[in-house]
Amino acid sequence: MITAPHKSRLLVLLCGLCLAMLGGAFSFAACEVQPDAPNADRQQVLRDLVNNVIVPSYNDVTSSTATLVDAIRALRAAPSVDTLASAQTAYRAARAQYKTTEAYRLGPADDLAITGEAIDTWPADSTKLEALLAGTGPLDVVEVGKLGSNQRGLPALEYLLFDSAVSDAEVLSRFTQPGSGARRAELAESVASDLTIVCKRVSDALGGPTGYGHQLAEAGVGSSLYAAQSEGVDKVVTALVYLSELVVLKKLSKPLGVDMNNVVQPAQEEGPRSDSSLRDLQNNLAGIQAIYSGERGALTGQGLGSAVRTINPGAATRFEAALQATVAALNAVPPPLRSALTQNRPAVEAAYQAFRALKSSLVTDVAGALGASIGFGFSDTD
Amino acid sequence: MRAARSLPRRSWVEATARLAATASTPVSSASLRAFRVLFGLLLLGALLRSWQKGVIEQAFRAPSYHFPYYGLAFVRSPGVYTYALYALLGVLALGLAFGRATRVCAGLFCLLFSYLHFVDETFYLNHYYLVSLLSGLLALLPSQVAGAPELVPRWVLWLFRFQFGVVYFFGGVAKLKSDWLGAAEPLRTWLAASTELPLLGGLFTTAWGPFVFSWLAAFYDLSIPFALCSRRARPYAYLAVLAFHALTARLFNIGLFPYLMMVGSLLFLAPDWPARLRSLWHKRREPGAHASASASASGVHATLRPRVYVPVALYVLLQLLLPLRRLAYPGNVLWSEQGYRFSWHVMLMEKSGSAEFRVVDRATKQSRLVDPRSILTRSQTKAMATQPDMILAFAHELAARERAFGRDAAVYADVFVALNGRAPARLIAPHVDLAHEQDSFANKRWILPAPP
Repeated sequence: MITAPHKSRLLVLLCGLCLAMLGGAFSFAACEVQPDAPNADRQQVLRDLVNNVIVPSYNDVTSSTATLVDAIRALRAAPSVDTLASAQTAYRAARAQYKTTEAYRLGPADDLAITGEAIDTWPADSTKLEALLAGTGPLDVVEVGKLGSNQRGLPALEYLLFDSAVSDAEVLSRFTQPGSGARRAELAESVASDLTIVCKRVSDALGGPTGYGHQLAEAGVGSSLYAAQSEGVDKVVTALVYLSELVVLKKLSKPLGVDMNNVVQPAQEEGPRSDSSLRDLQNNLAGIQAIYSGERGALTGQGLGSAVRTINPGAATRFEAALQATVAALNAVPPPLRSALTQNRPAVEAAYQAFRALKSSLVTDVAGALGASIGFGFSDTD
Repeated sequence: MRAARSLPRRSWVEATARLAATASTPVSSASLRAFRVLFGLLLLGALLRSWQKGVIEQAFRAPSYHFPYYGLAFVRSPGVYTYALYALLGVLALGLAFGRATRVCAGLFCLLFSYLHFVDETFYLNHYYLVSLLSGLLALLPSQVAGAPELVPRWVLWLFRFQFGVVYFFGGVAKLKSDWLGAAEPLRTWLAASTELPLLGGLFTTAWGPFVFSWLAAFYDLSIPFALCSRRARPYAYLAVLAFHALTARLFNIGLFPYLMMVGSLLFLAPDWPARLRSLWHKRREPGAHASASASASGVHATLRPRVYVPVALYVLLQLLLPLRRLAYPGNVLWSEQGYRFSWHVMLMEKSGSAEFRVVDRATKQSRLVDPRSILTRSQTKAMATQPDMILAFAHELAARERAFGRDAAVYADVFVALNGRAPARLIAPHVDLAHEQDSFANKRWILPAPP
C-alpha cells in the first residue's frame, strides 16, 4: 500500500522525470535541426584582434608620426612647395593611420594619464595658437607638452600646415615670412615631435608581454585586467559603439546642422582646413571593418564577425549589409565635405542615415549576438 | 447533514490553530543571527565594491537626468552626498554584522538603500530589491522572544524562508517560456561568451549544451525551495545551491546576488545549525545546541496575535501577487516589460536596443532628431532603449526641455530592439506622440507586439 508521504514523493519524482524527459527531447530535437556551430573561439578572436589589428596599427601610427616629424623638419630647414607638399602628405598619412584606430580606442589609447587627450582633440584653438606664434616664448617640445590638448596633436598641425580657404602658396608664405615663418615652422616641428612622443607612449603601453594588448588578448585566461573573456569582448564592442555614436552625434550631425534646424555648419567639420573629414570617416569605417573581419592589410585572423556569425548568422548578415551600405553611402559623397554639405546635401544625409543604421545594427545585432549587454556598463545585472 | 457540513470547517479551524501554535513556537535564533552577520558582511563588501568601481560617480553624479520610478518623481539624487550616504550604509552594515542596535541599523539601511535604489530606474536590480526587503524584515520582525534572547518565534524564520522561496519559485516560473525552454535563449548567447571556463566551457557552444543548462536552471529554481524544506534532501539541496550560484557568479556579472542566495539558503537548515556546527567543530555537544528543544522545555511561548499575523499575511499576499501582476498585461513580458520589475524575472533576456527621438515644434512644425546619448550616460541610454516606461519618461523630459524654451513639442520615438536572438524590431509605435501619453499601470497601447 502506498502511503500519503510516499504518494507525494512519487509525484515529485514523476514530475522530475517528465521534466528531464522533456528537456532531453528538446535537446535532441535541437541537435537534429541545429548541428554544433563551428566553434568561433573568442579567445582566438581577441588574440587575433590584438596581434593583427590593434597593436600593429598603433605601431604604424607612431612610425607615421615619426615620418611626419622628418617631413616637417625638412620644411623648416628649407620651406618650399615640395617640402610643404611632403609635410602635408606625411600629415595625411599619419592622420589616416590614427583615424583607423578610433574604432578600437581602448586601454592606454583611452587613458587620460597616458594620452593627455593630446592626439586628436578637435577643433584646435586657433586663437591660442596664433597667440603662441605672435609671442616670444620658447616653442620647443617641452613647452608644447605643457600646452592644452586643443593646441597639440593632429588638429594643431592641421591648423599650421593647411588652410582650405587659401592656396598652398599662401600657406607656404606663412612659413617663409621673416621672423614669424621660422616660429611657425618651429612650432609645427615641436607639435609633431610631441605627437610622436604621446603616440609612442600609447603603443609602448599596448605592446610587450605585460602590456594592455596582452591583458586584452588573454582576457579570462591569465589577464590581470579582465577576469572573464566576455569582459574583453565587451570592451571591444563598446569601443565600436562609441565610435559609431561619435560619428552620428558629432562628426556628421553637427556639420549637417541636425540639431540646428538643418542649417549646415561647415565649421563643425572634423578636418575642415585639410579637407580630411570624409577620409576620416572612411578610415573610421576601415577600423570598424578591421575589428569585425579580423583582417588588416596582409594580416588575417578571426574578428568579431566570426563570433557573431557563429551565434546568430542573421545578425551577422544584417550588420555586414549595414556596413557595406555605409561604405557605399560615404563613397557617394563628393569631396570635400564642406562643399558637399551645400551642393550635395542629400548624399551627405544618406551617409548620415547609413551611419545611424550601422550604429543601430551594432547595438542590437552585434552586441545582442555577443551577449555584450551582460557587462555592457559599470553596474551589475541580474 | 449538519454534522457532515461542520466537520471540514472544524478541521480547518483545528488546522489553523495547529499552524498558529507551531508558528508561534520559539526556536533557536542562531541561524537568523548567523544570517544577519553574513548579510551585513555581504552588504559591506558590496558597498565597498560599488565605491571602488565608481558606481557613485557614474550612477549618481554623472547623469544630468534621472529616470524616476512611477509615482516617485520627487526622489532626487543626493549627488556628491552619495559618498556620505555610502559611508553611513557601510557603518549600518557593520552594525548588522557585529550585532549592534541591529533593528535600528537594519531599518536605517533599508530606508537609505531603498532611497538610493529609487533615484533612477536605470539601476533597478532584483537583488537590490531583495536587499531592501530583507533589511526591512530584519528591522520589523522580532529578533527574540520576550525573556529569551536566544529564541525567536518560528514564524519569523518561516517568513525569511518564504522570501527566499518566492525569489526562487517565481524565478523558475518566469523561465517557463518558449525562449528559455524551446530556444535556450538567452543562455545560448551568454554561455557562448564564456567558453574559456575550464571543463564546462566546451559544452557552451554545442547545440545541446545550452538546452541542458536552461532546463536544469528552470528545474533548479522551481524545486530548490521545496528540496531545502525537506529534511532528507536538504544537505544535497544546499550543495546544489552552492554549485549553482558558484557557477553563475563565475559566468555572469551579477554582483551580490549569488552570494546573497547562498547565505539566504542557510536559513532553510535547522534553526540551531550554527550551534551544531560549533559542537561538531569542538567534537562535543554544547548546552545551546538544542535551543529549540530547551525552549519548549523552559515553557517560553510567543502568542501569534492579529496585530502580527494580519500584516504578515498581507506581506505574504503582496509577495505572491506582485510577480503575478504581469498576467494582467497582454503579450510577452520580456518585450513590453509591463509587470517585469519586482517580480523576480532574473537573468531572462539578452535585450539590446537603439533609440532615437524626433522632437517636433507644434507651432512651426520644425523637427529635429535627438540622440539620447547627447543627454544620457551610456548606461542610461542602454537601459532606456529597451524599456518602454523609460522611453516614455525620456520623451516627457525632452518635451519639458522644449517647454523651458517656450516651445510646445511633440515627441516621437524610433526604437528598435533585439530580444533573445531575434532580429531587431520596432518596440514603440513611431507615430504616437509620447509627450501626450501618460504613464500609469494601465496597458501601454503604444508598445508594438513582440516579434515571433
